[in-house]
Amino acid sequence: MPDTSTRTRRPFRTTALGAFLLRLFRHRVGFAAAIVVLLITLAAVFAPLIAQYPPNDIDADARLANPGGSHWFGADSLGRDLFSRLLYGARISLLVGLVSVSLSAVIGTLLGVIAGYYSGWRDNAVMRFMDVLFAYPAILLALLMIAVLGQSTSNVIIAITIVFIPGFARVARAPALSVMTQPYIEVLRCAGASDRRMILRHVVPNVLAPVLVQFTVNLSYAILIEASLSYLGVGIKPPNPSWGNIISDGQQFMLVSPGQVAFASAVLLITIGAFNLLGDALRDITDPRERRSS
Amino acid sequence: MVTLIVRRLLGMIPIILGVAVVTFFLVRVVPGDPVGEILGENYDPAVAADLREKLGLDAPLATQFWEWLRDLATGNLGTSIRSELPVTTEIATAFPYTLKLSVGALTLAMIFAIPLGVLAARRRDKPADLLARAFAVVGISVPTFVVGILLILLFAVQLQVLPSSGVAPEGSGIVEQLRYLCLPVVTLSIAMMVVTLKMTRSSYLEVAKQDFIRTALAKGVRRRRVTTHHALRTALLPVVTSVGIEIGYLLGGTVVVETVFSQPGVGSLLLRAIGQRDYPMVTGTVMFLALVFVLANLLSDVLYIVVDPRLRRA
Amino acid sequence: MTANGSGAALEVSDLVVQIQTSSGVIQPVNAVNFAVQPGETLCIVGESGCGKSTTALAVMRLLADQARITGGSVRLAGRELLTLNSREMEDVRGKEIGMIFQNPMSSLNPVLTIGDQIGEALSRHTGLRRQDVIDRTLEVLSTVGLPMTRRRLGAYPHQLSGGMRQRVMIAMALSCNPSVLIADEPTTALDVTIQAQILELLREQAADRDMALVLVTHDLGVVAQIADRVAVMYSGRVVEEGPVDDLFARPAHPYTRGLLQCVPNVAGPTAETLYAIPGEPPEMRAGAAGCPFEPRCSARVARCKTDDPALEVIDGARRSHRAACWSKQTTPLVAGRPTDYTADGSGSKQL
Repeated sequence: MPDTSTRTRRPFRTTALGAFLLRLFRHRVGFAAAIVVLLITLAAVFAPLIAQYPPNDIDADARLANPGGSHWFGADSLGRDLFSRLLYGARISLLVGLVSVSLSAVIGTLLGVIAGYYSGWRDNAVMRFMDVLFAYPAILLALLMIAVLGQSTSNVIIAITIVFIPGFARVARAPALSVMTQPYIEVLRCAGASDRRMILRHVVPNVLAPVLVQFTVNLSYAILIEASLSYLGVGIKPPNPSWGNIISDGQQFMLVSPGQVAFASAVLLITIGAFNLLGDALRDITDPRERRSS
Repeated sequence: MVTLIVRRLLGMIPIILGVAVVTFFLVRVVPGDPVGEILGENYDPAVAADLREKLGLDAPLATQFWEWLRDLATGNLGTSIRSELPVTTEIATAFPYTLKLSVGALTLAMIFAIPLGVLAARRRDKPADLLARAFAVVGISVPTFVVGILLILLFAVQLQVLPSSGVAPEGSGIVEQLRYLCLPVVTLSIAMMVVTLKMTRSSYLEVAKQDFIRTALAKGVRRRRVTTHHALRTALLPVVTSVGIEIGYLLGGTVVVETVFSQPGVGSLLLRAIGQRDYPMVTGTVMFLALVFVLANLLSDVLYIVVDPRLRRA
Repeated sequence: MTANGSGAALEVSDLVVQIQTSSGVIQPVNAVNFAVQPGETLCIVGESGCGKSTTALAVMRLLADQARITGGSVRLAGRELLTLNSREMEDVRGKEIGMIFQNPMSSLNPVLTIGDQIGEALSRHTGLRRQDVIDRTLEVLSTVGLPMTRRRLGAYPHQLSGGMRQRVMIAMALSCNPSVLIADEPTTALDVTIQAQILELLREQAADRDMALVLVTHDLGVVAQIADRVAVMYSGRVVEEGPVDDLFARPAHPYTRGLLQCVPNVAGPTAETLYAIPGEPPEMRAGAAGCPFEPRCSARVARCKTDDPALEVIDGARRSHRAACWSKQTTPLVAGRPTDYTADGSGSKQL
């Protein structure tokens, strides 16, 4: 009997982009977070146009200058403009976050899909390896990678990438595994569909929604880890500006000039918070259980 | 129950082996010459050869790995090339500080997070819940070092009631020791508190709509008792398991907190080792912390088996 | 004996429950009336969503947070329950009114032993000492046909079968000798053979204890087996009420007739097409005019659209047989007592 009320949920696809954006728009917190994320991204992309000074330009007269005047957020102990450094810091944070999370999303999802699709020994091999990576606390794994590879921006990216791979693999494997138990997969297989086609047409679309959520949430963690590494002095090398090293630099002078720590912390907190809230919102609107109730 | 616990114990062995393999090969196989890294660009070949021998880098990789594994099994993590002390000795000196911080933070987090989580769930969408959720968003988004700095600014600089860093001087009383632990423990606990709060809240909400809660109410059991005896008891099961995973964040967090508050723990040891390119020390501390993490996970698995009757009788 | 002199163990009058939703107010219980005497079994029967379970929960004042009782009264031996404060209501629940639910699997707490769960009601309401609680628990378990040793009280729900769990639920509800027992679809989740045993147990216990039993069900077979009287609910109201034999023999409301005709008669001719009531139950919006069954009714008259019929005595029937309809039917439907009826039209018991 045809029943229109319980139409099966279609997996998230780009063709549903309009509906998806509408749901995001209706989710007030998610929408606000998306706007903040967008603003920060724009600020990072157009940093050279917005910033009044190059980030490493030293103005000796402005050392530890208070906010206001020609230096909107003040200047650091060397007389570098804080606003400009924070803008360029956004570039580094977002770049490191975006590249490392994208890399780990691609690698992790691929591993997860392979594990879920083939099951058996391939599943075992991949997932046991992921378990091992999970056995390291995240920051420790990143520290270990930096210790081995040396301190540089690209190594920070590699370290964070490795940290996130197992998470993506797990998130991608579960839906892949459950798709493979659907009866229609058996039918397709009998009809002679190739592995490649099966994975791309039937497995990947089901995996996309949870991966997207994980992607957004991990962006916030990536920014947090990068900031922590830089704060600890093993991340982005000074004089390159990173929010983490700006804070650790400002900490030495925070009694006389608290602005540096305050502004950088605020920017960092807002950015991580926005990505986090956006991730939560995406989870709400892509989770079929949540959607039904709304 | 015993079978299940034994199975978990056995399942841990490949993980530990895996961690050993990954840690070893990451350090040894990755391109770059550790000796060159240690000595700087222009080094004396004789000194280099000497160091190579000392680090056991002259032997074939397989031999090196075998020896490393064998040492590991006997609890030998190698010797620091800076202090020339056994890595285990250094860790043994540093670990009590890390342990104090972690246990303190864990306790603090539980004490606050579980009642707050229940409160938020009971007052769903009311001001108390919204406040708790706002706290959760901020808490999860704020880096540990930022919390630390803010607390130092407030309590050590502005109010001047607590020391800003370091540990209590040798032989000082318990009160003094606690005063020194206060800020680092609070700082370290925030992240865990937030995760536990969210988990307790959602778990409690899930349990509260179960049929057996209605049964308990239908028996005329008092609300308070339904909350504690029926709902909370069941709701805490997933919270217990997640504690193991959260100890991972906690151990990662100690590295940061020990730096912010100048605590001489394992995290500081690791960071110093990275700065000094003290490879045996790096692998040793990482291996040690990963082991602690795996054990913590195992502990919470076992705890789960013990507290959940459905598994206990299985 | 009681304040209003009716002697009813439980009397519900003009009970209204409303649910506030984002799209308006829904009224799942709309001026429901019924009364049960001590020792009597009343079955509330109807399709899923007709408000029968909500009525049962409303009597216990255990509705979900969004639902609220907005009118009417619930009297337990003449004592108004709706005006009690929550602590007083807690004293009534489990002690004076027991309740058992549909799914014995999920209705027992998985992490507490069954001994704890039965004993909890006892120690809550009787103030017995620990040892006495255990003795009484074992005693009530053996009355519900689940004789146990003290050691077995330490068993967890997942270690028992569905039928045993439902017996535990019944033991729990009976432990404090309530004067009213409300059973919400107590056998729906059970195998057919177990169903019969549980119904027999309920009937037996109600008779032994002179306890009023309110049994909510969608299964006319259950009704035929156990009921003294039946209340048929449709769209949040009682549309017909009466002694089970009268109601089955001469159903007056077109909906009741429809329900009874939906059921395949195992003994009757086999080739007959199954009857189905056309259309679907209406949404239970507050403040709708007319009889809610009017759109689906085959016997409708002009005033059905505008006037809401009240529950009234049927011409030529016994005083206790009442229906809410402008065109009450008076002809007999089937001879004899039906045995295999299911109100949701799915025929015999679900497999």
